[in-house]
Amino acid sequence: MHEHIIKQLKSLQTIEPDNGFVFRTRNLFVPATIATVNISPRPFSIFNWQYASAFALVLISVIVIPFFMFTPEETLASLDTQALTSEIHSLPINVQLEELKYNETAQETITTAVSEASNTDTNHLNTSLIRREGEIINAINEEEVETNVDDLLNQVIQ
Amino acid sequence: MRSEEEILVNKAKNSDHAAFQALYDLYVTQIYRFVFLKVGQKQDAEDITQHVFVSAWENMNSYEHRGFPFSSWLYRIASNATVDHFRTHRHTVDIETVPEEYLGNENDEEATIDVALGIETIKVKLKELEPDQQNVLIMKFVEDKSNKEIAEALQKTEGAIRVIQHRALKQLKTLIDARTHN
Repeated sequence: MHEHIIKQLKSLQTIEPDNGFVFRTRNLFVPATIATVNISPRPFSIFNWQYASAFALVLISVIVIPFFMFTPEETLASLDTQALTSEIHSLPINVQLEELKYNETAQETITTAVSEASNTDTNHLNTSLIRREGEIINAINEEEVETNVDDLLNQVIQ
Repeated sequence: MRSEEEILVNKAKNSDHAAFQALYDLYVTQIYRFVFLKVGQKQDAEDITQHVFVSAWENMNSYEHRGFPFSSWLYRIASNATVDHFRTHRHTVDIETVPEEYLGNENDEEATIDVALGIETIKVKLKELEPDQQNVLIMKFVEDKSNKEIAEALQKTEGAIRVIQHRALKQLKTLIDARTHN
């Protein structure tokens, strides 16, 4: 009943795609383009840059961020390398300045003592002056003693 | 499924591009023919056919062998793709206006003018059938698929396929006779 129609339908088996189209589409599935076509999940590998980047990001999130979040500020300050550097550089300078101050004071004291000890022109060390002063003192004492003695003697005599 | 095809499918599921290329070589012609007879335009048929195979490659991991040829799965993808095509492309091109050089190499030397006219007529009238009727007639008589395989591809029972086939042939004969009488 439908043989003629079925025969006509089977005649459509001669329809074929263009060879250029077949070749172009087939090339979609070669290894070079398969990466863009293939959406199946790739096996994990640390050497895959995408996974490596994601791994690094997770590492930063899990370790580094909590470290900074929960570390005391003192520790944070001590981690300031600039402050540490300036502190280290200023320490010897301060020590040297203290030493200089001490040496300067000691030097002045020593210089004063030495100059005083070596000064022969000072009045109290002048022998002639001392002698003159001694004579004056003796003279004064002698006059006073003599007067007193005379008075006493006069009273005894009287 | 033939054992050789099953091996290719398993390799393709493991991202073996060579295996998938072999499957492509096996089925590209019949999938293109199936799509072309439904959409009636070479460029659309090529685009949809390419989409079918790219989708198949992308979803190989979801393919499960259930005792049917791999082509059943491809036909199902192709059938859905043509439905989407008609949903998004309301305009249609009459297959009669398509230049002969776009229709593949059906014009062999031994083909007579009467046969060529018969082919053109049946292509035109085939497009006037319901989508399911088109699918069944193409797969059954153009691609020589079994009712079981057609049922698997179209997600219907074999009984339903027989009913659709009977009605499709009857409807197609009516359309061709009407054209002949006109």
